[in-house]
Amino acid sequence: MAQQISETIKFVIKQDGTVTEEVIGAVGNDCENLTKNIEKKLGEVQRVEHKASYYQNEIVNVEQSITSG
Amino acid sequence: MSHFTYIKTKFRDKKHLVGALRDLDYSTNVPEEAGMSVVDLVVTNPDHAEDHPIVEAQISIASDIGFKWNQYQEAFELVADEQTWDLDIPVNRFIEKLTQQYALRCLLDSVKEEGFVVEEQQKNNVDNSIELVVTRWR
Repeated sequence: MAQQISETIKFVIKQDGTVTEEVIGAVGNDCENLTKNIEKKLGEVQRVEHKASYYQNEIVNVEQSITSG
Repeated sequence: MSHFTYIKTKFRDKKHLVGALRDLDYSTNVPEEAGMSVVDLVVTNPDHAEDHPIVEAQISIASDIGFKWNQYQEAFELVADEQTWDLDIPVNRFIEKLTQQYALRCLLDSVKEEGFVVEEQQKNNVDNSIELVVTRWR
């Protein structure tokens, strides 16, 4: 049985109306699809930055494989 | 893949733009609500009234302040005369406040459509930003 996954998005609307969107907890390519609609309605995407936690996950995996090996 | 996205808000949606203007207590004239397509904005600045054409706008909040659809930008643009601007706040601050309110309305509507539930909505009194946290389960 598939496990339920929560998708959380944190938006910060700055004083000048610029919006920062941070996706928390979505996995794989869903992350991009998830926000595409919202972005389309709201305006122009200026830039996308991958979060540090994305890279941290990779490091954790390497450490785990060393421990188990 | 988690990521941050930076979005420059544009006035694309007329319903939310009108809603945001009304949220901010501006008396808003939308000719479409009376079965007409546009309202004429008339320049009241006496210095150059004679050479200024009348501008047709889809939304107005004063006789010479309104919003006109720009098909190339695919967004509404503010039309106003800076010299006769008589709102309570300067034009730049007006645009900022309106953009923030518009973005909030757009977001609340969009996330609901996508099946998200608002977990948290709060205003930061230090930098005047609004934080919105939404979640959905699947």
